[in-house]
Amino acid sequence: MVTYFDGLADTQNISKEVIQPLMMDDKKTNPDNYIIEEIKEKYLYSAEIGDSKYIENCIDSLVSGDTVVFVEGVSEAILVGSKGFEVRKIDTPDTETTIRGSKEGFNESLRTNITLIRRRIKNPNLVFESMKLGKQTNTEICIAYINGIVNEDILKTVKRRIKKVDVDAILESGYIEDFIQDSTFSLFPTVGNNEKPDIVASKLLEGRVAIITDGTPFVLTVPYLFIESLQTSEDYYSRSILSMIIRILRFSALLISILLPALYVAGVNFHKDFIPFELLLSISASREGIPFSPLTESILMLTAFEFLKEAGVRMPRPSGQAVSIVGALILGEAAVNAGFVSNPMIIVVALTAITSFLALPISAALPIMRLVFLLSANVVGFLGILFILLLFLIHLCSLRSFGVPYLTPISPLITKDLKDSFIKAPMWMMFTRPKSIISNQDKYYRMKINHIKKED
Amino acid sequence: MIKRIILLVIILLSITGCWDNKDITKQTLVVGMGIDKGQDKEYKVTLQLVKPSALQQNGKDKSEKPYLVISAEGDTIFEAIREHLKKTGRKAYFSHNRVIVICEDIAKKELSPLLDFIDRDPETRLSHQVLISKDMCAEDVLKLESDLEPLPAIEISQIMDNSETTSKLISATIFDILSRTGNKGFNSVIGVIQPNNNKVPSTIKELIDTKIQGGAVFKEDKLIAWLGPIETRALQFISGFNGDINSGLLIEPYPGDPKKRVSIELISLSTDLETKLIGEDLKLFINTKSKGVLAEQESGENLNTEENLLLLEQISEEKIKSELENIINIAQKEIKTDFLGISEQILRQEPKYWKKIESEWDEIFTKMDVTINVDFEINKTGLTSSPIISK
Repeated sequence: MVTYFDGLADTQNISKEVIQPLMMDDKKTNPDNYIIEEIKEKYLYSAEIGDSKYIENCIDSLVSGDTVVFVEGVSEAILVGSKGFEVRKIDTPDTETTIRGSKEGFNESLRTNITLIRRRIKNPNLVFESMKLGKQTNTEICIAYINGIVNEDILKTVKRRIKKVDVDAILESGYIEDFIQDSTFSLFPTVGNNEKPDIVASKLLEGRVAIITDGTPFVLTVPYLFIESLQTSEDYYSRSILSMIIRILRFSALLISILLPALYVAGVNFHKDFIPFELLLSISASREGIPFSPLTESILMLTAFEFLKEAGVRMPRPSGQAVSIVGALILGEAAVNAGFVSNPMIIVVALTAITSFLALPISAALPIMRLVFLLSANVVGFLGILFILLLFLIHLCSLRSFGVPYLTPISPLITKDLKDSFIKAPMWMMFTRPKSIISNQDKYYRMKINHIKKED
Repeated sequence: MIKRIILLVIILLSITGCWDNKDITKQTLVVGMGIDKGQDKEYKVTLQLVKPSALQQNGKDKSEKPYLVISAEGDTIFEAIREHLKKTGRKAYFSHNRVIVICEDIAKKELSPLLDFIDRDPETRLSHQVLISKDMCAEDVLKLESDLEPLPAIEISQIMDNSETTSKLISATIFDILSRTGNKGFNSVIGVIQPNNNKVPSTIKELIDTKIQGGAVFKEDKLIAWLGPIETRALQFISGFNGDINSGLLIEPYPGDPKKRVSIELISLSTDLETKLIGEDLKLFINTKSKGVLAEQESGENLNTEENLLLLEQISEEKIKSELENIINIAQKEIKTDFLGISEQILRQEPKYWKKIESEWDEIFTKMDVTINVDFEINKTGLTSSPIISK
């Protein structure tokens, strides 16, 4: 008896590789103990083949799309690999779009995702360890790392934490992230997620561990450090001098996005002496007749922006246009014309909004940080901003991601790792893998140092 | 940790009442400040305040002046400033003040109460520029209308900034005055604003009817003498008064033909003051080295020859020398006060010797022997080398 799940299994394959050979010849009907071996070796053409004496294994295989062949009178079943269900094709991901570099993104199938990584690292040391999580969903997940480069301690921690996960369902990698991350209530992520195989491959090559989950294109990478939120794959693909500047730009954008509204409020309320005279004149001219204090004004505008952003993400695509028009017109033009909001505030909010998209991985944390800074700036000016900045720094310094301090290589300072932080050194200068992740000194070097001797 | 952070934030937010937390719409910017003698009380303080509503670009009424000038009296300067609060709803904010105009009556009496207030107050800055108003009261100066700048005080301040191209005005700031006043033997010179020659002070309505030039000489904190524009330039040749001057204009009659003139622009200047003790007498050597360019000529002769340039240099040197001799003569014989900054030079070069002579410096200064060496060089003739019509 041949059993399979219609829809999960590839029926064409089953017909050709299982049913057709079984029906073709006359079979010996003497049911001896070797009939299973005989069928497996002589009749079935499938590449994936196995057997089991336990009904649980058979059911597991059935529900994941395999075919089970039962033979009358034999207490053993043959498992034939025939997974074949509809999968979304490999597509350009919505997040992390690039101009230069691979356009491929992961899809929802674990197998495709593994293939995408394997295609980039053709190396027997690349290991995928598969396991099942979720009592109800039996989701297949896969831990990927490169043997020899990976830090064994980190790998052990990852495995230990994943083993501890005891949950009904894993529908997305976010479920796992929540269980294994170091600090749930921090604003900053300590587990990274990626949708692109080239990024995951590069993280594996730096000694990180990736966790691939069936059913989602988002692959987790650990450890995740603060500095990674400033890095994009294109930094490594475009010319070094340009990516150096862009890194700095991205960092200043992050600072602007967090601090600008607070600086504006502190400046206008407390430190009018530090604003250049002409600028102060035009600020005071446009603040004239505005009914709200700078704090109220900025909280109103920033909240409106968050509304817009959220609406823009969830809206069905066609109505997204309407949202942006209404948002831009009403919030920008009408609010200023009606005299509810001053012009400088619109500029501040616009700048804050634009810059918040430059450091995407932590952009979700920005609105809360902004608000805390705003409130403290409104109470004690620059002093408050400095105070909160210190608090955030203390918090960042105390964070760990799988044993690695979150702010490495800045604190603790690892000078050699600074080559890929606020600046990005040219490829031929990156001799070493990140010291913060690699523990083994032998695996420390990527290339020979004398490589850089240049020809005239 | 999280709880602690939240607690700290709550504590932070509850510490309210920082003294300078004030919305900008509750304050008004001061751009000019004038000090006069009051009629009923000691001081009359006049403030030029910015009216932000009139500065708005989409404001309908363009004829509305973007500033307001109001005065109030008080027995002290602080009291007079507080009196302003009775007249305007908004508190005056001093950090962006540009110009402080002091009436000559106050300057002749004493400057120290004003300096003390400005030094002490957290809002005022040491970079406010200072002018003494001669033959007009400070209130009238601040009421003058400007043409190019919307705010007259800004216009005055820019005229003072430009003074380095003519060197005929002392552009002093509160810092310059504070660093001299109060030290024995150190005297400051402050710029002057006065009506144009043929104008009756009470009829002046606009800034262009005044001239901002010359200097007012102070002994300690009292005004004792006035300097004309040429004297002021000579003074700056010697002391490079507040930062070295590096520009200025000399107009020379053309050698040979006194009716035709030549303009020479000064482009660099460095002066060395050297004091030497020869026997019992202190001697002062002034060595100035300067460079100029030929900016204009009226005659038709080609001046771009070696001998003509040498001749011009010689004439210029003589002119500079006579100007310097004149100012030293004024300081030693007429005013009998060292406002040239020579005391500073001795303090810097011979601090121990200065301590010894500090108390009798005025006397020593008036008797001091001064030698002047002038070196002037014309090294460029502009973009053309020969005159338009050559003879």
